[in-house]
Order: sequence, then structure tokens, then C-alpha cells
Amino acid sequence: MKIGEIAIISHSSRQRDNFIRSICRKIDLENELVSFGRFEINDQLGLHFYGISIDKQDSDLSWDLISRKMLGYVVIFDWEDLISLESVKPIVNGFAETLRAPFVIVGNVPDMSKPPIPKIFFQDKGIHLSPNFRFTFGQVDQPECARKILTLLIDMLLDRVEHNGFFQHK
Amino acid sequence: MFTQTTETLRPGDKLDILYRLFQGDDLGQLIDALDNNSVVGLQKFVWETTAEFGIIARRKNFSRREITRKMTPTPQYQKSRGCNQHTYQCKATECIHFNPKCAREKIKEHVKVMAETLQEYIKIERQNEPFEEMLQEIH
Repeated sequence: MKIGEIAIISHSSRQRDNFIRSICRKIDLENELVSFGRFEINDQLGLHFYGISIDKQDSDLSWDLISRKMLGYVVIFDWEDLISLESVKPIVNGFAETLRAPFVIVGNVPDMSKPPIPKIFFQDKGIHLSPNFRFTFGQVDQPECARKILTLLIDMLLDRVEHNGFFQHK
Repeated sequence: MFTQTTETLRPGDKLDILYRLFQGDDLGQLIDALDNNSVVGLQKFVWETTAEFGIIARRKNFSRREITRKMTPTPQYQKSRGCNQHTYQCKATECIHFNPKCAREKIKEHVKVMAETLQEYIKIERQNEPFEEMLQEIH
């Protein structure tokens, strides 16, 4: 079975775990620092989700080792908490300088039926920040929202494959 | 890999700009705090985002003019500043390096216009939302 690995990064272990639970239904490993969930697409392809709390990054985590293998990243912050936004900015900027993987940055909101701006502006492709970075709103404890975020990340990966010519007809 | 050129901002900084734009905050203070290259990057990002939102909200009716017509025309701006340079030289990307104070004032006005226009696009789509939801339910 082929495995793709995706990192879920948040200042809040609850947010990160809610996202993984929304996709995988259950979490196989869960502690303050990291969590882990599996999602089997079929008998040949699966996704592994690693939840990482950014509060602990400086002390316990080797980002170099973790980040090298990742297919993509989902970075979650609380839209209504400015401190939460400030906490993800240096992480996002740091990764932008060193990694080529796609990133979806999620402004988590308590009620997706009333997002800060109308859904039409972000629901399909997110808001473009750079070729590797998109922003979107989401309610990460809702499975439908989490799936849309994951779909956006996979779309970014597929766009990249398409641009590299793998889908071109011979 | 992301490399910072003279006209780009880092994704985290763009996130900050989006937050302020969507909250309806004034970007003037942020402009004051940024270096010259980042100010040019901010202007470019706000323009791109506003145009993107305009295309979504106004569809085929969108035109760049509906954003730029609210900005002070360049000859008028130059006259108000007592500037004798050619009109084509009054560009943020150029002036900001030898007359940053004047260029920043111009950029601030342009960014304010763009931010207000973006709020208008958001308002248009807010009004459309009930109809969009109704259409989705029908389908």
C-alpha cells in the first residue's frame, strides 16, 4: 500500500485533533505534542495525518526530519483570536523559505454557516497567497469542512503534477 | 522554494493583510511599519485580491476602472505635491526608493480605495447569498 503523509499544524492540540478526527473518524495516537490518524482511500492508497502543536516546536520536535517527507501541510489558526494568528505567522514564513510542499492555511471559525466573508470567495480554490500557499476558512470539527480543506490540498498537489507534465499525453 | 523579491511579501505577512482587510481595518498603520519593498508588495497583493474578488462578484461586468476611477488621478496627485517629474515616473515601484514619503502617501490612498472596493464586493455577494442558497436547494 502506498502512503501519503500530511502534517496538520496548529497552536491548539484540540483544533489539530478535531481536524484529524473529522477525516479519520478516530485518532490512533494522541498526546500534547503529536497525534496520528490514518485514512485508507482504498486497498492501495492511504493517507497518514500527523498532528503537530507549534507551541512545542522549539523544545521537542525535529522539524527537519518531519517536514522532509510530507506531501503537504494544513496550518490551522483561530480566526477570532489574533494571538493564534500571530503564532502561525513565523511558522508559515519559515516553511515558505525552506519547503516546496503545498500549504493550506485555515482560519478556523465557530460556525461555517456564517463565515467572515461569503463562501463564494474561498470555497473552491481558497485565496491565493503564493504558488504554494492558499488561505481558506473552515470549521475543522465538521467532517464536511475538513474534507473540503483536504480536497483543496490535493487539488494543489494535482495542479503541480499537471504543470510538471505528468498528465500530458504522449 | 519561496524567495523574497523586491515586490513580494511572505505568506505570513499576506495572512496578516487578509485578516485586516476582512475585519475592515485601516492598513495605514501596517504600511508605516513595513520597509519600502514590502509596501510595494502589499500594494500588489491588495490589488490582486481586490481584482480577484471583483471578478467573482461582478462577473462579466468587472473592469479595473471601477477600482482605479476612485483613486486620485496621477497628474492631480503630482500637482498637489508640487512634483515636476513626468507623469509616467509617478509609480510606487520607482518613487518609493528616492521619495518614499510621497510614494507611501500615494500608496496609502490607493490601498484605502482598494480596501473599500473589496468591502463593496463582499457586500454584493452577501446580498446574493440567499439566492445562491435557494438555487443550491433547488438543484
